[in-house]
Amino acid sequence: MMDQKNEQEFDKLFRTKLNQLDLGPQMHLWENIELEIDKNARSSKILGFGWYTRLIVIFTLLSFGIILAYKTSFKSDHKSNQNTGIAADGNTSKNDLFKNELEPIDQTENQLIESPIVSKNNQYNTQVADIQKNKHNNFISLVNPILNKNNSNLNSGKAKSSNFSKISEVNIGSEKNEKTLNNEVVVNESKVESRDLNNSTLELLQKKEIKKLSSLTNSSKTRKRDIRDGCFSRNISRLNQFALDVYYSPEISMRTIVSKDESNILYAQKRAGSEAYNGASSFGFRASYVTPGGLALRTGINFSKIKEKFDYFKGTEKKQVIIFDQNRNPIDTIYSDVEIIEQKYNTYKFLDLPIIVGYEIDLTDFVFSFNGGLGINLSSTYSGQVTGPDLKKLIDISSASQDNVETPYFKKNVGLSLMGSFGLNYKINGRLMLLAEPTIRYYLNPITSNDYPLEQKYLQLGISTGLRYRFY
Amino acid sequence: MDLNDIIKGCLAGNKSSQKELFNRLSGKMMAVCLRYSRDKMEAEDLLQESFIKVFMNLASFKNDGSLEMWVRRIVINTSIKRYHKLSYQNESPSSDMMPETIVQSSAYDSMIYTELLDLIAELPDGYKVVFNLYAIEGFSHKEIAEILNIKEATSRSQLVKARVVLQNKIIKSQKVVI
Repeated sequence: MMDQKNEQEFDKLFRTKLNQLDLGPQMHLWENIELEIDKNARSSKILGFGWYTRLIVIFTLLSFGIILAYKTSFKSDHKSNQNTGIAADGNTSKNDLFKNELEPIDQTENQLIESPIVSKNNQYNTQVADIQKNKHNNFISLVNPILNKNNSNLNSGKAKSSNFSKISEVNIGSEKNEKTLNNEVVVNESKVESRDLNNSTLELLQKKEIKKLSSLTNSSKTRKRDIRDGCFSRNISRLNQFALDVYYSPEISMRTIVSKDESNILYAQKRAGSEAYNGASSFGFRASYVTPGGLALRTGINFSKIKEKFDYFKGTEKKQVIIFDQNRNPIDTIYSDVEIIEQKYNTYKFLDLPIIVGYEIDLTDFVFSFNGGLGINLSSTYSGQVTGPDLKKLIDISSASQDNVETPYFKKNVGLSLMGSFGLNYKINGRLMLLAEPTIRYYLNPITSNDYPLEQKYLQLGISTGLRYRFY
Repeated sequence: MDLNDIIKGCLAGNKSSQKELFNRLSGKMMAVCLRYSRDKMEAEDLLQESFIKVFMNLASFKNDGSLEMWVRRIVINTSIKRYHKLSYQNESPSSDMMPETIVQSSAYDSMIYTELLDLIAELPDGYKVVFNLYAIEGFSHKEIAEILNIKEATSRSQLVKARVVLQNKIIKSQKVVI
């Protein structure tokens, strides 16, 4: 068995004899090298597309996000406009008016109203039943009392949606037109008198209705419409919302260390091998402005911290192990080399100003949100030590720099970061919400300066938890 | 010629500066290459490949450290890359693992560098790289594990085995005191 106490001396022998060994110039190899250099020098340089690519990716993603948000928001608005029967140009046609009549317009009286489509269908069903029942009934006899009633209601300014429905019902009940389900108002020619009366009433109603609809669209009072989408109830607020979030996020930090050139690959590997993630977290607050369509703009302050463990290899020391027999008599001594590892902890702190664009879907109990944007770094501070570029000495990450150069190896400002999140927020009450938001943050630039031989970058994944307070 | 002038000349594409730089450093770097190679031919290939990289990347050299250290790191890295490429890790050792007798430390002193280089060259490639990185370059097992993409335990065991194989070879070369 090899004498283990000589292990260090054994290594030392090779080190001292070979480490600085010089075999003399190898000039017989120069010719080949020279040829290769010439060949490489002639080949064209590949342009560095790094920044252009990054910018294109960022703008494409942002544009796509914004377009998607607007598109969804437009669809939802358009749908709600269609349902309320508001004409695109602001005018209300006769047909439109009848559409409106079939819907519960007076929302001030009905805070939460069933879907107009559902309501419309229900009415039609009733109407079809009525049609069957009253097929042969006298049209005039039905119309007159109702119109009179409407006129009196209109005169007293108390027209109600239920009355409009009845008018529709009357028309549908006319001889020719069970197809008035398509909202076509066709009056039997034989009932001219009734039609004239009806038309004059309709004009009055139309004027009144336009006023009512315009007052509805311009109203600043809060209204909610419950749209039944399967099992979810979706609220579309007519108002802009303001909210303030306070959050804390435990995070996982993923680091990449890349050598800028061939010579520092070993250094990069040495750092990667001796340092490891130990913990990360973020906390902060942000203010949000949410449009009625669900488009959200957010900004605030985000403070994040990454902690890493650094195993500093100081060298080896000889360890002596004495083996005893049952009678406690030493029978053998074993020597072995033990690595001396000193554990150090490094901290990286970032203060960012996020500028986020998002889209919110407001449900009865939850608010879903999709957010993306940029974080503008306000300051970055570091503490601790890492192995220096010479692979031997330790450098202080808070202040280390190249000799005679003031720029530190680790930047005081790391620039922009990409931020994204998906929020599932629970409504505690009308104003307070619990936040649960998986987040991702990627610093576009390395935290290391151009003078440092490595590029050190971070990607952070976390779950933001906190509270949101809505001001409305 | 001053080293800074040589670097400037190399950056300007001056052939004589490049030749001068190669002239100054090729001897030491050849010694490094031999430690990571099986034979002289392979070492020469490594040296050529490394110096081409040196000249192509000299612009990225920060003039704050030793140029020799910088070139040396390129040579070591090129050697390790070649080792990965050829996937020598699974190669089994050629000789028996247990040394036949104890080698006294005084036996090493009389050995010259060529003998030591020959001994290292005969090591299986996995052992050779680990031994070079640990015993000569001064890396820890954790760092070697990262560099070679192996487990720390593998690095430790390969080092132990490398030492044993070297000891056996020293004994066999009859330059030992029994």
